[in-house]
Amino acid sequence: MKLFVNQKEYNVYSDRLTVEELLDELQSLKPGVAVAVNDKVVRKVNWNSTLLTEGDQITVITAVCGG
Amino acid sequence: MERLGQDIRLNAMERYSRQIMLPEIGIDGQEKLSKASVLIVGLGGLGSPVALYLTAAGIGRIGLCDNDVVSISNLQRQILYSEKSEGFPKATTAHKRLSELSSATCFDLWKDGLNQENAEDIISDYDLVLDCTDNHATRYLIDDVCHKLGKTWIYAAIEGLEGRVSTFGRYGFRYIDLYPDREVLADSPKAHGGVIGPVPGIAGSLQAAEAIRLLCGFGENLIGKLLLFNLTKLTFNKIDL
Repeated sequence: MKLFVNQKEYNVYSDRLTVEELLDELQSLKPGVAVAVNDKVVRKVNWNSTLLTEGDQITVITAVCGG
Repeated sequence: MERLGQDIRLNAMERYSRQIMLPEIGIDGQEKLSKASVLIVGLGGLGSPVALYLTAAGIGRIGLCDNDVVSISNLQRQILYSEKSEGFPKATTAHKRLSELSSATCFDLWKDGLNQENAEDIISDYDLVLDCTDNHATRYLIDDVCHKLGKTWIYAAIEGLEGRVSTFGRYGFRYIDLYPDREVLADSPKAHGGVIGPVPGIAGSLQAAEAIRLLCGFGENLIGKLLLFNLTKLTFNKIDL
């Protein structure tokens, strides 16, 4: 399945992948990470129940704190 | 006295003429700005353009909240300050600079910064809060208190060549809904990474424009949206919360 992660093409072997599994694969399953799928934020409580589909645009938004 | 009042009004008309001529603002909008009060939490890279633009725009009362002093490494991006400011408190230095810019704005100085003890008292006294802080702990505090008091706050945060801006309204999506890992983040150190001045310059300008839009009541706003920009790739994305 072809996805786009932060605007870069990203291929995964599985055709059934949750947001949580993708973040784990990206080594981004850690505190201070927010995720949007197709420009809509998916709340953390829904990461393990949200399935990705071919062509999805995923935005990984790390928490920054500079001012 | 009537004559004096008239002179002040004419003076204000000329001073703000370039924004009053916008149909989105007009005289009504200018009056709303002059009656508005905003709290700026953090007077660094974000707080500098926010304070300068909102003072210049004729906001009636501005709270300047920061417990830090100016250091030489601030000057590369914190455009409120000069070499002479080094070692002086940011709140008093900013106040001096902004008072020179405009006598039309009243300023409150909060030199202890925002903390658990004073946050509710301070925030309750303003229409709008601008989050220009440099740490997660204060952002969560602003999120808590604004949620409790039903206040709207305009968030911005930057790192490197990236920035994020949003507005959290009195209802709906909160900052803690975006980043629920409060315990870990609130204990993380302040940002000390690399940055170029235009990054907080852009984020702070977006915050100031958002404040003007919200206070005058025109156009789109960032409630329920998160604006992300990247100055390496030169991209701006708006995401739904």
